[in-house]
Amino acid sequence: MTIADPVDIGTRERFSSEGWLAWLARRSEAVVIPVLALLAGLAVFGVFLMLVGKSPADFYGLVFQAAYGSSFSWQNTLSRTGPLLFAALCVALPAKLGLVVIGGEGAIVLGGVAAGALAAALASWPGAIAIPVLGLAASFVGAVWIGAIGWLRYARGVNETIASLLTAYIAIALMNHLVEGPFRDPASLNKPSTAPLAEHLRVGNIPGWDVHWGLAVGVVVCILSWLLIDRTTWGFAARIAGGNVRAAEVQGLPVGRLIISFTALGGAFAGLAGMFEVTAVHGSANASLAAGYGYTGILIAFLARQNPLAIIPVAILLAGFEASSGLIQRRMDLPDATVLVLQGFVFVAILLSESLYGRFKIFAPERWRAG
Amino acid sequence: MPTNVGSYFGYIGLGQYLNGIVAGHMSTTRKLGFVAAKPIPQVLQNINSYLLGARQVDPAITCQVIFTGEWSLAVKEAEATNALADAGCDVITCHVDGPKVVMETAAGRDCFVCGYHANQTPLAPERYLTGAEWNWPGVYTRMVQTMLDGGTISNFDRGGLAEGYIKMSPLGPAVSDTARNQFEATMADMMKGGFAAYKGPLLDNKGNTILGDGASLLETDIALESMDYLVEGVVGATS
Repeated sequence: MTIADPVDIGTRERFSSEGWLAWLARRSEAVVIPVLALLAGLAVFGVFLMLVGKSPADFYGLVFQAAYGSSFSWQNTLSRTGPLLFAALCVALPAKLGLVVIGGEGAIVLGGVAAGALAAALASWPGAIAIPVLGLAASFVGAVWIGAIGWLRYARGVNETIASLLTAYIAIALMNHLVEGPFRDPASLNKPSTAPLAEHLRVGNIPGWDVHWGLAVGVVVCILSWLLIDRTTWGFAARIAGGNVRAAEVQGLPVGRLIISFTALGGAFAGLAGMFEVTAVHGSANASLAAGYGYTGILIAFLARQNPLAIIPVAILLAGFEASSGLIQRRMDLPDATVLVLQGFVFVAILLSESLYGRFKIFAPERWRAG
Repeated sequence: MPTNVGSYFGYIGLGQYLNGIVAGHMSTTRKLGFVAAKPIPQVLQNINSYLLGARQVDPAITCQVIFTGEWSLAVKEAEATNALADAGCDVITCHVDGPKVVMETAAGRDCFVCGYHANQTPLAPERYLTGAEWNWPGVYTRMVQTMLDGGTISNFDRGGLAEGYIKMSPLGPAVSDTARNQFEATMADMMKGGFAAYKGPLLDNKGNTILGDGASLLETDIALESMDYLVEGVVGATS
């Protein structure tokens, strides 16, 4: 499976030099194929629905209504989008180096625990200082957690996919131990949690919206990540290393530092997602942190072809699917897992579509070049 | 409790107490088993109530508990059930999200089972003794009817058998007459209200005194909702 898009490197011709049709053909492949794969996944899931005697039209109508049909549903969708943006970046950034890191969930929960535990110690600090400190602490924990995966990959040759998945389980077990043991607030009874955050340490909503600041920060870091990858020499070096590690080493690029810094940066973003979950949503760290955002983030990053800008709309789409879960259960009598099955179908379609790149002549710029 | 927050729940520990009475009669090894999710007050109360019910039959009965650490983890639940059966427990119950795995695994090991959450008779028709069931349709119907009649619902609502919050599964075919008699007598006692499953002298399983001589905790006592101990006779630890 190709993770980094090799076409990314050295194809910076502007359409002025090759004619706009050729430019459009070149650029549209990366959009058309994922969109078709998404539609194919939805269609196959529709057949699955028909087999259990439900109407796909009703289903997708309800998903739309629940995800984007009203201001309330937009609020529901967007408040899930924030953590998904961070989680997807935790997959997309290492992917630029050809690494498949799927353990962002671990960095999210540990980032959340770090923020929850530290918040108790910072209760007397003003919010304007304490909240960024919480964010930094959560990012640091996430960066160490996923950065270690990068280091293991580079220094010890440990497969980063397996390692990150397995350490995510360890992270969740560690979180359970910490919130049920050392960091537990004795007053939390049936839901062991860290102490509730002081009111001034809670992250509020974006003014005029019913959505917390995590969404805005998530969008900003997506844009910054795109700039890093697409507009800096450091990002360019990462793309070369992702295309061919040997070639990059021959060129004298610091492959080890690139791998560790990109995995650590991805982990830092995932940790930040955990911090927002604690400070904006739950108000303390507890088992609710393991909500599966890390795993949905994998699907988003692949759907977005590991492009940080494309992550934004794709995250809104997938957050919409998740937001519709409740309505689907109530109105169509389908189980809670339905949305997971849908995501699974889409993911398989996306993975299969990876083999289609370069197969369609319509996307070849040569065909459209003037003259 | 602030007025913009509401809480409603049932005294399902009483159902586990009744499970324990039947289990106490039907056990030949004098060892009961409990597959539990997490060591939180709600679950601890069920474990303790199950043993205290059984000890009404024979004060020498013990109950071994295994915590799986998660609400729904079928593989660990099966392992825990098998481990309990291997340890000689012959009546097994549980508090996990879905009792199906525990019921089927335990029945497959020729243990008796007591149900939880809902009626699991169809999963083990011969080995199922009884079960502590939620009766949410009853609760919600009553709440809606109260609203329709123009009344208000308390924002702190609790109830047991008498209030229709919980009910017991029909007794299975294996249940002996003496077990049935004590089960029905205790149930009739509970229906009168003011039942106390927790009576002194009561120690936890580390030897600390929970209740002194003559002290007791009524089913309605809010202290039960912050339970953090396993009573004497429960084999296991909360951490």
